[in-house]
Amino acid sequence: MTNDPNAMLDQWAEQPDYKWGFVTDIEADTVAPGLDESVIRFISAKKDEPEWLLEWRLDAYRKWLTMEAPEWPHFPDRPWGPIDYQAISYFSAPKSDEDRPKSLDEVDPKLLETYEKLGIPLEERAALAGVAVDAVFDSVSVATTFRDKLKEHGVIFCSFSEAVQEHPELIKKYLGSVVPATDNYFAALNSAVFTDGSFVYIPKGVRCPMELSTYFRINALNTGQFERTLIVADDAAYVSYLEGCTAPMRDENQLHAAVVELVAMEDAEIKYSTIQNWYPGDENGKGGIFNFVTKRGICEGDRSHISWTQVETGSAITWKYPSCILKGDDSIGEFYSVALTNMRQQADTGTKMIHLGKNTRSNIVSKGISAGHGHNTYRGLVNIRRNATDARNYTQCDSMLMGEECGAHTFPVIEVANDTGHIEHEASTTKIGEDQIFYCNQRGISPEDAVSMIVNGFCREVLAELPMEFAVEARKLLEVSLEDSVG
Amino acid sequence: MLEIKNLHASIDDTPILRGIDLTIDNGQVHSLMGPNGSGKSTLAKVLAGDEAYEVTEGSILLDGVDLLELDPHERSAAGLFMAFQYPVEIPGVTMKYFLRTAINSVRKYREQPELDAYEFLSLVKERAAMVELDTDLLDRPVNGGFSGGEKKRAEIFQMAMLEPTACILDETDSGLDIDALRIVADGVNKMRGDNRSFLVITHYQRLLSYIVPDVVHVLVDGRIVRTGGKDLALELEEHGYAPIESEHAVDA
Amino acid sequence: MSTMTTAPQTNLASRLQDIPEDAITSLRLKAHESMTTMGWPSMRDEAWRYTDTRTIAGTEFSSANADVTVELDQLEPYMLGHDMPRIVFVDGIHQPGLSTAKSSKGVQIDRLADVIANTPDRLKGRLAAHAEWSDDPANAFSTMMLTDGVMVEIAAGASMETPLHVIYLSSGGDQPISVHPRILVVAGDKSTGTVIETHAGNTDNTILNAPVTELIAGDDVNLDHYRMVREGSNTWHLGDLAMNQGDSSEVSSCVLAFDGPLIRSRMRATLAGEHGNAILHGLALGNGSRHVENLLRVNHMVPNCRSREEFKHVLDDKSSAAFTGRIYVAEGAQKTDAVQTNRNLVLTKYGKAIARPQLEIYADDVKCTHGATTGELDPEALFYLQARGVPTSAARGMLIQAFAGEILDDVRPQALREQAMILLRDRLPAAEHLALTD
Repeated sequence: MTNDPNAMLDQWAEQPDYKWGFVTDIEADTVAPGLDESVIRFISAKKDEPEWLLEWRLDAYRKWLTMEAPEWPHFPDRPWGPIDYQAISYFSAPKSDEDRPKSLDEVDPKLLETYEKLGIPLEERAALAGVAVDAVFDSVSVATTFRDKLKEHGVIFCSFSEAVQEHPELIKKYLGSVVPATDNYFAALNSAVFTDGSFVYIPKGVRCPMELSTYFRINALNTGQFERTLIVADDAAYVSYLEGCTAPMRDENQLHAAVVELVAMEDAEIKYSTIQNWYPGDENGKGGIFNFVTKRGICEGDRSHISWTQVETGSAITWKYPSCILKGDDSIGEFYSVALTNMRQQADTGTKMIHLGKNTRSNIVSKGISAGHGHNTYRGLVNIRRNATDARNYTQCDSMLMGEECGAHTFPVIEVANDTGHIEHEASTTKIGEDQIFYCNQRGISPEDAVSMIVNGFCREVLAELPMEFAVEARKLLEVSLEDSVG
Repeated sequence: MLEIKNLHASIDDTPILRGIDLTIDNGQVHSLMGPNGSGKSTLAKVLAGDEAYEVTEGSILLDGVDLLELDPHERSAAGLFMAFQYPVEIPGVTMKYFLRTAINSVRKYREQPELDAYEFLSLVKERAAMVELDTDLLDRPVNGGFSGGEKKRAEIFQMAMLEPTACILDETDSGLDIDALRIVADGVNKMRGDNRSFLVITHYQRLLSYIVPDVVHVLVDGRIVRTGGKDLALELEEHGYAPIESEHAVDA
Repeated sequence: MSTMTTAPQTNLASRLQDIPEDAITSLRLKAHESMTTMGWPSMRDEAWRYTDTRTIAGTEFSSANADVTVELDQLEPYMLGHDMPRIVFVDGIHQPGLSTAKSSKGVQIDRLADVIANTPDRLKGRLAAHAEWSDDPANAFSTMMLTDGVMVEIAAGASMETPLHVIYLSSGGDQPISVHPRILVVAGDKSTGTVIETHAGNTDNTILNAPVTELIAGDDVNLDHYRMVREGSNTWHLGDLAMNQGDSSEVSSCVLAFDGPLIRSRMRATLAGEHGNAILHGLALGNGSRHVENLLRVNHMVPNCRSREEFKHVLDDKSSAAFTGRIYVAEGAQKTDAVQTNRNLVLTKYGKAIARPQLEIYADDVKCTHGATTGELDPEALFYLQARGVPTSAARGMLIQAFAGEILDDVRPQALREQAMILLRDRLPAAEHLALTD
């Protein structure tokens, strides 16, 4: 063990034990790698989708073929070559999908075990945690808990596939309404091949009685995960939604291209929290998830409120900008983010706040931590349109650097097109001070605990936005990476 | 008992401490005085294990334990406390959380059971009263936005919480007004006892009117050049360090 | 520069051929090649996203008419007193009759045309060595047409007694013309100096003015540079500035943008020696449909340097301003201390402000911050002044002046500072102006 902060920080660069890296040996239905219209037809048929949805997918696919992958993300340490989309399998489901489980008792015990290992309570004891869970394993949703209890309140919480069958009118109305099928390269790909995901509808005036949660797990080799989440909060409804993600350790890069759409009507509030811990690859940058996600919410109604909170510790490459379109007057958009990049991880993340309505407010707090050869980029847009009078934005982007090979980059764009908008943007870059570590040491706190404490302190404003159970998990996640790399 | 023997230390190959011998028995308060640049604060940092300094010779024993073998956090657990001249800010970490981590780290090392939330808060209440510290401060980030007086009081409060056997006060009086000085001194005096030794480092005599030392040492150019009773401090107050410095200038 | 879509003017090659061969012909050819490859950028290009160059690209410029004469009284409004040594160009053509600056001990002041003709060795590793043309069409254009300008060389240990004022007056004619001002300042170790440029014109003629200034500072240099922009109503100003600093040198540059439909300033500071200090300031006043563009980059290449950037935009009418500032900290440039701020004061419903403050950092022990604010006049401050009996218009004027004053206070040459203050007042809306002149 060492006390030298520099040596300690160097050790940060070493690979933390990825505790979620196991592979579950489950019989799976996987289509052969490759992508063409027949694959899309296969997925759609497998899910017994209506004709319009198949057409929607095919439309997206045809547009995707004409689009180019974005080149602008800033990944200085990891030029990522073109992805071979033909080498990816676009559908993998645990075999038991054939006769989808009716209750948890019917779920493959190995699957339950997997979620147990992940620390996700699928069992009814989850009741104690007050969280309803939808678990998505590779391409399909394997279990959704507490549906009956939610139903009593009129809340719909089910897998996307089920929603297509049971609530086609809602899906047809809202699918692609916030993130159009051809919004960007990866959204188009997702629209063509998405396999499952979660759907939530909170009716007028209902406060969802428990936290809703989805856990995503990529298990199968050479598969991509393309899930889709759609949450609609009707007038004066409230929901807090959590998602967590893990994947096994694989030497090959795996692609995750999700789309999340949120719709908040008048006086509605949606709180969306993510803990993203996909496999980051090893210290040489081998393997790991390419995480290209499009998340966007629309504050459709007056006084609506959408809040994004994310803790991003995984993935080899992360590319996501959870955004808010503030359309309703007096609506509020928030973005709280912690992104940690270690080893060879690269994250290009941030948000867009588009102010259309009057008196709209947005708040952005972004904390980037770079260690090892990691590079962390904040990219954001705050756009105040001419008619968005009295709009306000406050942005704070802080970066913490550990070690001499990493980088922190901040590329915000602020556009204000009227005289009543008020924008404040602040950014800073710091390192953990040797004096801070020494001070902690002098009080009996070990160097690794000191680093973890200082990092947690740095992220405090963001962690405070997470629901209690998730905050604990997030803190542990940050700490675990630290413990294992500093010791 | 803190025993320092023939301690030599340097920074970037420049010797700062050139053979310090100093033994503080339990129950005693020693004061270390000296002009600026004499090496007073260096001694405090070397005792606490600041790696910027290299110990080239000598030994430091605390109750028989060789501190030089220990990392800074282990020295703390072994019973050494240093009140910083410039307490460091740690944004986002509340004082309470910080202290609870500290106290339980130390207790774990000492093989004592960790304090639960209730025990911890009772202790906080009791010790905060001792140094007249507003407990609201404890919900703020460590030293964040504290006034000079609050920072120093918080240091003494932490000392009271961690119950060390050897306490080093590094220029704790600097930047304090007379009221704050009295409060800090009261806190220290309450902690004086048979099982604890103090080393009070200061440039001025005034702190020593409140914390009356048993022994006063004068440090010049990294060596203790005079040792005496509490009157030595008064003598220095009157004549300054110049006479002693010139007396020992030849050695420098 | 990947998305250039607009072809350059068709007459570029023939204009180049009109320039007689000399010591820098190969430089011009290279710049021409870059220009031809790049063309005028479209707004899809990141660096030009907010500058509309379509009209420029669609205009065939010719060179200025050498016979234009200008009297001293036409120059007077732009001068900074009669005593400040000056060099005057009209439409890029040197005016010996109006110029007063002379070389003095340790301070060599020359026309670039003379240096090119007689002592071109003095330009080696200096001219176009730091102002990059390969990624900037405006600079490439200016460099390919470069024939004259000013070279100031301050010997090691020498000081300029007074600031040097370089005035580029634009006049133009029936045909659109382009002007290519060039200033090269080479400051030897331990030297000090101040150079002020004014780009001005009282004309409606169509002109493209593309000045390039290079400041090359050795060690322990103290160098101040100012660029005052008061262009005519149809003069597009596409300026470029490059500064390169040695150890412990402090170099500052300040752009004061007052008049012209388009004022674009690209500024690049490179800290190549330790303990250097780079300061970039800017004040822009937008009215009418003016667009002001400030595009900055500070390169921290070595440890222990400091940089400060502060840009303020006051936007009236339908004017717009875009600020893009990047602080780049290279690997190993530890203990970098960089601060960047951009503040926009939007006075009307139609004003538009864009801020892109950027950090790109590859070293861990650094202190870098940037801040950007955009807003209207502080209503509380306004109310406070009104409550003290100050009429609204005067209160507004006072607050605007206070906002801009933070930049002007740092303008060291008194004559320039006073001129800028007056210009500021003159360009405020009438009521506020009147209230202030009392």
